[in-house]
Amino acid sequence: MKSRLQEIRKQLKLMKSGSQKLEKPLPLKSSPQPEAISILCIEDNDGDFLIMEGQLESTNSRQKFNLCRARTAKEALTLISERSTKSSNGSERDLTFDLPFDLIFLDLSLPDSVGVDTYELIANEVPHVPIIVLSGSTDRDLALEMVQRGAQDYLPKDHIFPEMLLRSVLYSIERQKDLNSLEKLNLKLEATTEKLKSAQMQLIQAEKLDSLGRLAAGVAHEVRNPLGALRMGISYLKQREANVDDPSFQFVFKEMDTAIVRADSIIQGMLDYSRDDSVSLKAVNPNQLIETALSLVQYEITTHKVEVKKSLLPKLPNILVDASKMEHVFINLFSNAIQAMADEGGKLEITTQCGIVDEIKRDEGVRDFVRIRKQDEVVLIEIRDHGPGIPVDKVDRIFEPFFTTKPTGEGTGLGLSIVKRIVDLHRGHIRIRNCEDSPGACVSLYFKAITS
Amino acid sequence: MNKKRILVIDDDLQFGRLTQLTLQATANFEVSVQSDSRKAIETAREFKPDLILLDILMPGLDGGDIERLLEGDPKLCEVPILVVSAIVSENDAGPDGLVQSGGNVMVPKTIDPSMLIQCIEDRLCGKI
Repeated sequence: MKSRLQEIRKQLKLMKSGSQKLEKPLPLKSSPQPEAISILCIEDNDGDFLIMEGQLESTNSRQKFNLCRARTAKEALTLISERSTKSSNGSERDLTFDLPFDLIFLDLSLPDSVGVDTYELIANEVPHVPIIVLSGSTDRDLALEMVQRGAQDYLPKDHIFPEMLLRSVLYSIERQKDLNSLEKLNLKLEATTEKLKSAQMQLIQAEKLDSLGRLAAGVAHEVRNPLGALRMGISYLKQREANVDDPSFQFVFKEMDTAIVRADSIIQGMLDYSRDDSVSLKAVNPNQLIETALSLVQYEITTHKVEVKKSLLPKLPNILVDASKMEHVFINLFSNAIQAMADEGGKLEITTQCGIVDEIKRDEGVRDFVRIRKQDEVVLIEIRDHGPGIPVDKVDRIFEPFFTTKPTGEGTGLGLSIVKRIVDLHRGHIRIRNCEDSPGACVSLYFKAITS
Repeated sequence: MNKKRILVIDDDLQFGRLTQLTLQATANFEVSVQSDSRKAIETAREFKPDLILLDILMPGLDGGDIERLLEGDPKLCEVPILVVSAIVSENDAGPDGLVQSGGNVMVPKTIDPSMLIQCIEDRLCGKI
């Protein structure tokens, strides 16, 4: 151990005294012979190649090199593909990078390719192998450009000496290793994000199907009403078969036709709602979304004897949303409001308006806006119930997944967290608070208006 | 034969109007429709029906509320009621067209109207 320290001191002394060359490699006892570094040297000039080879051999290092040579870009690509381990149809998710060489020396001026193109050609083929550009030119701008494009180093051929070359090779390999690990992590992160996104979509869909189950009885009732009307109409027409000129015929036909449209629209609403798709944004009128959602919860409204008071702004601007997901938001919020007033019956107030964000008071939650900015024209939808409101100690937790104020077994606790998720997906803003002047909860939804 | 007076209390005005036409087309019934359940008792007092076709799910007062009000009214408590609702399906009905649901008897709204007429007649003569 003592002799080793002495040797290190000796080396340090030498370095301090200005010597650039290490006389000997540090004799680290535990380090095994380093593996030979495989290098592809893409160089058409025989003289330059021999000089490079000589430089590498004369480094005072135990490091060995396996040098391969290509004279043209084409030859280089052939060598690369021969040594490639990965089949071309390998999965994109496969996180082992193809490294046919540990490093590439690249002369930019080849018989079949010149300049930046040469670099791009090779780098595209082996994006994870470090490339050191060797050039006859000392053009600093070109050097910088090559490094910006991803080259690990740019060495003017006339200014190369062995130790510097060794350092450049070793450091380039290390830097590229780090870059590759970073890229692998990034790919993993992207894959995880993608999985998370799809899990969230599945969760939204699961919650949707759950609420569809709850809505089914109501939808059946809403469809059977026009069906009953249709049957009555048919029966009437049968009885009056002989009197086609009867003026009441036109009336009955018209009523039957409306009944079909009614039944169809409620079925269509349910189908649109249950559709499983990723976000498909379309310009939609919020008033229309509210009407559709109301028609799907009409049964709940009637059974709980809730009075609906709508103040919908005519000529409300459209918003860019996924209609099916946004209907889910409204159905969920309406159901919550109705359930909150289940025992006493009550009033559900729905208001739509639009305005410029500046005009909304700061305490309206504008400070929370991340995506909606000042001067943006927004559509504001407010849903207000006259139930008991949200317990003060629970207000901050209502968007938490699996948090519910409903009795066990009556709520999944996912409703509002998914509502928030959907609103976020549309870059909107949601705020739920207790009304100030009377008991009840008030939900405010903000979406950027389509102004053009 | 005197026409029997039928009062339809249903918030679905479309169903009400078509039921009115169909029942009247048989020439056996005189039909009135009230789609606002809050005015149902008032209309019943004026119209003096022989039978009431009563919907269940209505905004304001529902079928159950109306039934109670009718029972409490000395002039209307004897009027037979036939509950007609879209909450049940024709598939739930027995061969007599009736659905027995938790002690209540009702006729599905989607039933064949001739079956509904049969039920009305059975109810009028006290068979059901």
